[in-house]
Amino acid sequence: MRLLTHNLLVCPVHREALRIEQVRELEVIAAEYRPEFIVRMLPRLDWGVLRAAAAATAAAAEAGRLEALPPQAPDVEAIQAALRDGQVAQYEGLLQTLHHFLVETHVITARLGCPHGEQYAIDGGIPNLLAEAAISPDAMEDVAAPAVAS
Amino acid sequence: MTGTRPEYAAPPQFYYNADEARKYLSNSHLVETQTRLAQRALELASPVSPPGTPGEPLLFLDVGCGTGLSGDVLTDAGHHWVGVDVSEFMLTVAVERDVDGDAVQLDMGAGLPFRIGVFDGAISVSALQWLCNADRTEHEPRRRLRQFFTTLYASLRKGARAALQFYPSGEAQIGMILEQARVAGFSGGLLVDYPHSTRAKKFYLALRAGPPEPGDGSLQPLEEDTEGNVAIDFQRRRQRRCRNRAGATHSTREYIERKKQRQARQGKAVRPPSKYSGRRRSGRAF
Repeated sequence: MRLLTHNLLVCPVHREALRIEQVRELEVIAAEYRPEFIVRMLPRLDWGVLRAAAAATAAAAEAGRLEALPPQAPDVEAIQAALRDGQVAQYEGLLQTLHHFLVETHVITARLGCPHGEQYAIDGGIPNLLAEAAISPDAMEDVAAPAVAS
Repeated sequence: MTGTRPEYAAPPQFYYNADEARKYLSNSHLVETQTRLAQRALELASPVSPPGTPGEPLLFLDVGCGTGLSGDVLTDAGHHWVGVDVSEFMLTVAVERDVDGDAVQLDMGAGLPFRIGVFDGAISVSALQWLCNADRTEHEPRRRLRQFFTTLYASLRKGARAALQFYPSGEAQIGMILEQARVAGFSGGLLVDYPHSTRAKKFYLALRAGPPEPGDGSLQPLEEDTEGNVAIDFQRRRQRRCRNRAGATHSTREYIERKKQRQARQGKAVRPPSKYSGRRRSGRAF
């Protein structure tokens, strides 16, 4: 699951953003860089969720990349205007970073956590959001224990 | 599709098991059909006036993505996509095939868990009819359809299109699906490709998230001739059948002898022909 998909997903029960937790496997797969797609997605992103997800998935070696994400969402209109005029060079670094996090970073094995306590497993890159597969807050203690041990 | 409908066999998460999922890799006819349906769905779901430059990469939702055959069509068109499906086996095959989109396992009847207005369009190949079944006691098709359509509407951008190909089991089911789509706020309706052919006939729900647009009238169903298929002359065929009935060829002596010979060749017990074969009854009482 890409971080872009994660950014669009909400908890099926409470319709709130999900946190990426207990990351055990990540994969970075190079993809074609298309700035127009990134700019198109910009207004739809939840910047806070993206920053949290990037922090959860960025390896120690990528600290520099993480710093390239400003704490506040960038001015989308300015970037769109720049893209139209072909003056996108000044945003190149930001767009490359976004491309890396949104499109190239895949979460393979982890958990998705709702602030209300539900947890959903990501296994083999596929998040399981089925209601019956949710690990409810009450049952979490029993299920989480062996998962950590393995 | 011949034989029993797969929806009646088992719920989708059980019907699409490992064996069934593998069929979607090996069966070339199945792959070809799915690809063609997906291409048509993409055509119907593409924005009439593309926002921005033509050929701009868009973000699509693929409902019931399965092994990602329909997603490949989106990838080939240069779009990004997120696929949702209830069957773990199908999604596993999709991941093994290294499809370009992201797969999420969920039950579309429980609603699509996406933020508001994030997708540029949605396609679906042969998935909607699964929603019309109650696989569990708490399942109520009408409510599940409504849940699906309202959350689909919410996840699409304003004015985005959705094209959902499905295999309806009858008029009543089409009515139910259309009604729930309308309740959710969609405009548009049913589009039937190859309406005069029993086999090639395909049903699409061509929807638009929002009020209808002038360009919507440009959606035309495909007819046999556009694909180069031979249009069958139904009138001539019917005439031929009528002539057969009127001519009553079955009771002539030649016909009876020919039939006796054929059945004898097939090894069936046949009475030898006699001078009485094919004669009219005298009309006298016994």
